[in-house]
Amino acid sequence: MTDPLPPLPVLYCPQCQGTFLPRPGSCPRCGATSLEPREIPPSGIVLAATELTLAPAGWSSPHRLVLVECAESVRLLAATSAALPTIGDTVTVERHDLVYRIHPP
Amino acid sequence: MTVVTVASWGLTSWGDRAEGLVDLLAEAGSVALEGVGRKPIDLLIVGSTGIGESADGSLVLPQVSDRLGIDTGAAVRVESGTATGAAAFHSAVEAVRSGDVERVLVVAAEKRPPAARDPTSAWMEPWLAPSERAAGATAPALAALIAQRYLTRFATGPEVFDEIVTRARERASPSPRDPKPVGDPGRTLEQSPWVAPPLRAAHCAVRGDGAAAIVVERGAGRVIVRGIGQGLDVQAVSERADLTSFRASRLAGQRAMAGARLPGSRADFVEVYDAYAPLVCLAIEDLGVCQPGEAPTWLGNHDGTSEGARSVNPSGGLLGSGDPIAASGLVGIVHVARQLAGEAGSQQLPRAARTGLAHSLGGLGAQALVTILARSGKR
Repeated sequence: MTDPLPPLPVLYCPQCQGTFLPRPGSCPRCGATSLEPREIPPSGIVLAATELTLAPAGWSSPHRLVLVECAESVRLLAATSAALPTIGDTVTVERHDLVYRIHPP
Repeated sequence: MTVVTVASWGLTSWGDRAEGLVDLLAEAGSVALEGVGRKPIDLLIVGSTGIGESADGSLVLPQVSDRLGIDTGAAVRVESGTATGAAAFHSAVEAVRSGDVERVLVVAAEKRPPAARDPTSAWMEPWLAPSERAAGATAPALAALIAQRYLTRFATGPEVFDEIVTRARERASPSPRDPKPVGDPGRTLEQSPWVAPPLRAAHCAVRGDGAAAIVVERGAGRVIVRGIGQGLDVQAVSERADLTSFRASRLAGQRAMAGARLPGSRADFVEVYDAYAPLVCLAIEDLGVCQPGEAPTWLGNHDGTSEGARSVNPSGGLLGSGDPIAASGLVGIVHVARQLAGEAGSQQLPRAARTGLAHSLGGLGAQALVTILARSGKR
């Protein structure tokens, strides 16, 4: 068994109860400045997935992108080099620096 | 309240233009200036994006005033991505409304950097949210994800995108004084290469260099500005509450319609942002032309190619004749003004329209601007 994937860091806004991906600045929804770091499980449901025939520089073609909805309605865009998942699939997500990737790659 | 009007306009052709940014700005600006008999201009507003631009994009205001031979008391440059042209126009309307200026020349131009010729270049991607750029997203990839969400949520097929492109190409003006229609001779839409399913190359407007200009004037012009409105949303497309509707468009539409005192969405026709075909569906729903999810049926029934109503993008839009990115928002406003003035040539609607709406998007819905124009008594 491999180690379980680490949880994903998010920010929680106590004022509007919104949860979103880590980012600089205030709450994007209500402008509150005191935000709490929290974690959500590294998995979610596939909302949409596509592959770019011509990848942007730094990626190989075709470049596959998956829109994932995680816990607390947090949505993120993840890259994958595996086959494209189907809408509605449950996938796990890893975070490397700023980049989210579908696991296993 | 001050009556703000559109007095004249000008368009260049667009595509791979050899000229520089200032040349294009001056070309469109000069046509609009001639349209008002070169009357004095109180304020010059230039719209350009500055993304990857060449050196002639710096200190652009005195370069443009110098080339046009105008001596304005004030000059401002505006940038707002693909909504730049519309944002520049709104700034002009606000300035005339303030009462301090009588006549404004608004010019917006696109001059893409050399990197834009490389199809894998991410030259426009600085506009994307950092989280999306990090994943290797591009604007067409995000548009494809939006399209997929739309098709899934409303259980509809992608044929609607083909129909939107077909109508746009049929409508693009054949007049030599207008930007040339975009074509893909000998190739059917099904043969158009995939960009990112469900989007093919044909579903994406062809980007080019080009410019548009408008003179905005207090009181006297042929077309009246009835209302303007703007809306914003979070930058990251993936983090928005809903991908099948743009909050920014809904807000911009509501604000412009409130200003114009138009009940609901009763503009006689609309020119909506169509850099990607699926965005037409979102736009007409967000502007209240039809209900959410109804765009495919509505377009088929009400916007057919026959002699019937052609109330969505009668100009053929950006899909029909290409997308001069920073100028595109101003191009839409020019098309609405021409239609209302009865100068739309082959694109003139069979029934004279009294009101028209122009819609522009920046950052794939991070910002939206809506402009409502009306025909004045003078023709």
